[in-house]
Amino acid sequence: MAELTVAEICRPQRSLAPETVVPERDHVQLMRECTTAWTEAQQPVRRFIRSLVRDHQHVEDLTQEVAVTIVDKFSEYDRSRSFTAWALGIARNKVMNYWSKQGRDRHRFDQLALDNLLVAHEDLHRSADDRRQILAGCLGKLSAAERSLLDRHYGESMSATTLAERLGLTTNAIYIRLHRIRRTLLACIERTLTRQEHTS
Amino acid sequence: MNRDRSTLDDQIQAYLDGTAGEADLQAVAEAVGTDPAAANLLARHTLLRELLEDHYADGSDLLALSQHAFSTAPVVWPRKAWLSIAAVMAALLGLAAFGWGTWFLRKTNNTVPAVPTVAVVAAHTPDLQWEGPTAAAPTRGTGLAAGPVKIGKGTLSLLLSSAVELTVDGPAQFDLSSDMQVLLAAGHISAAVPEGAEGFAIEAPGLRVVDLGTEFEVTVPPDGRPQVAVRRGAVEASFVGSPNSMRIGEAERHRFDPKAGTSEPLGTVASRLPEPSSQPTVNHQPITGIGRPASPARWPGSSSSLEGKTTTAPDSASGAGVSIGSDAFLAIDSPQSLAMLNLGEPGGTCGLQLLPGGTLSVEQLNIAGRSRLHLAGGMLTLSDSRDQANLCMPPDTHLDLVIDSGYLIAENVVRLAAGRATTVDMQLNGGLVEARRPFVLSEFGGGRLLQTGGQFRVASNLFLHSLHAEEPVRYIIRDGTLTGPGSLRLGDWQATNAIFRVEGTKPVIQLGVLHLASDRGVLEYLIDAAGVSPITVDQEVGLNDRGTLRLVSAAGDQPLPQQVVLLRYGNRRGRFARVELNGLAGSVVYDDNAGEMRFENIQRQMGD
Repeated sequence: MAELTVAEICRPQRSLAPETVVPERDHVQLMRECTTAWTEAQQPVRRFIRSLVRDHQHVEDLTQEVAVTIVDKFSEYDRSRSFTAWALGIARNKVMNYWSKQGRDRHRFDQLALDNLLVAHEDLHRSADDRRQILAGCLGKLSAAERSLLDRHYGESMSATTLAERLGLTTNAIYIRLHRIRRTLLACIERTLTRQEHTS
Repeated sequence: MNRDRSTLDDQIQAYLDGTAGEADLQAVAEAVGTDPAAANLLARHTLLRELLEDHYADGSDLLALSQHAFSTAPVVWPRKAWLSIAAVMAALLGLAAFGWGTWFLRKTNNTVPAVPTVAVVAAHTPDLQWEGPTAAAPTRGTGLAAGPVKIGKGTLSLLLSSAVELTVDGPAQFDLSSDMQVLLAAGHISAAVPEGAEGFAIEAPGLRVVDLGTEFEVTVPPDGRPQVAVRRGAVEASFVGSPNSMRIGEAERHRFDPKAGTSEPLGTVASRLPEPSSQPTVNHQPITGIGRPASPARWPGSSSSLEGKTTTAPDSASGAGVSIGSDAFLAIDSPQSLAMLNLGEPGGTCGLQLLPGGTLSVEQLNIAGRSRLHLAGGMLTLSDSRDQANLCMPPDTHLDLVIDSGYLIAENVVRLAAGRATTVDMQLNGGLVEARRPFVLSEFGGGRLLQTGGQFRVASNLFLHSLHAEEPVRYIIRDGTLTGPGSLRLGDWQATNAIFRVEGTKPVIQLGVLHLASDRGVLEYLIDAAGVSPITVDQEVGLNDRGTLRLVSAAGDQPLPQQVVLLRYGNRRGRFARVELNGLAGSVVYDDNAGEMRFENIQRQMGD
């Protein structure tokens, strides 16, 4: 039997070919404005897509598609509207196209669900930076075992399956623990947020 | 409806985990469609996951940080998602992805904390004549706050917290406005601006020079007419108050007269590759021997032939794939870009050397057999946008990775010795290693890293652990710097061996987080007559009541200092489980008020 080559063992994936479109220089100012707006909108857009699409690479690809569409159609953007809402609308269409190509899931979340999610992500974005800051404090309130689990899962990118093997537990038990920890964190963040709102 | 989980929260989390059953999926979709509160819960959980990932990706994985902001290197490290979007923008705009992309990143990072210091002294010449602002001349590792600096003579190398490297030749007078701007009143400054710090500006009287991703110099001579020279990349120069700017490209040199509003070209400047500020150690001993041939082969395609077996094949849009077979030794002294490089063959030996002038950007580096990778200059970039590690070592592989000079930039996860029966001997003698994503030494195999100079910058997590090595993984630092906002993690939680050893007072170690992740993690200090360098941890030291603190004295009868600072920290969690004194007497003091862990009342124990 032929020995595997190193390349076969390591199996590199092909990376995406870079875009090579060269636009006219005159558009730079407009695009700079577009990019500034997208800077603000990209996070809720990405989160919205992430709420609806499980595959991380597809989330990135779809977010990128939204960015491309926004650049293409920026001249059509009605400046009296919220840019984030406009971008989220584009993201919704991208997700629906994606579902129809995938041939599944498309009937699971209906229009109403997508609308509810759009609004939720747009609202939530206002407190995202506060939540980011509060998270660190809430992590400090977890028990050592809870922190350890998060350290492994997020810090060392260990999957629930790997964690289960290492800890001698079932994968399901790891998921349940992680659910509980996230629930604790969410409650802590929101308690702190409410307290901060009251004091301010 | 068949709900197989107890609450909507669990169902939503299972849905986000990708483990939800059909009934759960249907329940989540229905709830989100009918109840805005359910949609809100799904959005909040999605956000929480993102925040957790960011938190750990930033290396800021311990407790609240705001009060203990990292004082020397809150570098804006590229995040994959933002980069990809920025790259699209850049491509569409026809701008360099490099500069535009990172400008984009900078705009997205709107929570950079206020920092007391903006630079750290990386090196200076012995004849440095320090004229303020402080009376005491800074030494290597001294942090500098924003403000004016004056030197009479000598050369001062600074590493700004934006990762910009500045070299100032005296006499010079300048003001560190921030880590992104320097006001140069007189003298000469050269700046090496890494990816992520574009936009860095040097302002001379009447002239503002903004970096576009480059290495450049600004001189303010006594006649007040600043000169700008670009060695690599490009800058934008504009007279202060003028809306117009001028682009100065690579190898150009210009003189400006702000009073007259004129500029004149001054010929060309020799283009050179970036070299880090620290001097390479010339007489290093290779760790294990794969010899360096007297006359290294040329890159495939050049006029000289290559020793050994080499094949080239087009592989992707971004470059070719190259395989270097057994008994081949390849030296690179020109810019190259590859999608994939296969170094060595199972059972064979192979070497790759980067010489000054050689840059190699490779997406996937596969190593087999006994291979030697030697940086004697130039720059090796492991450039990759994929999730997987971009340096692969299959089983039964040994790698000597020696860096004497130049740059090794890892843009993606590096897992050295990740396969069983793989070993890595890494030696950092000079130059720079910049790990922008997790760097693991070594996952399953054996590994050691000896640092005798140069700089190791850690943006994410540096893991020292091995699951199966008989010997503990060792990182010994004798000189040079280990810095960055990332974390150093000793050991894995499964009681794996890892030793981090600091020898003497030459190393400069400043990190975001230090974490004892294993009971068999060891933090070791070799104390000599001058003491030992402390490890400065700007955020938190997580000792977690685990691991060992091992203190060792240098051989000989020289008196030891009465006390040494071992750790400086913002926060501390737990203590070491054990302290080994090895013939020393003294007490280990955790002084949280001062943010220090010290070893006090040091004495050699007689009879040991």
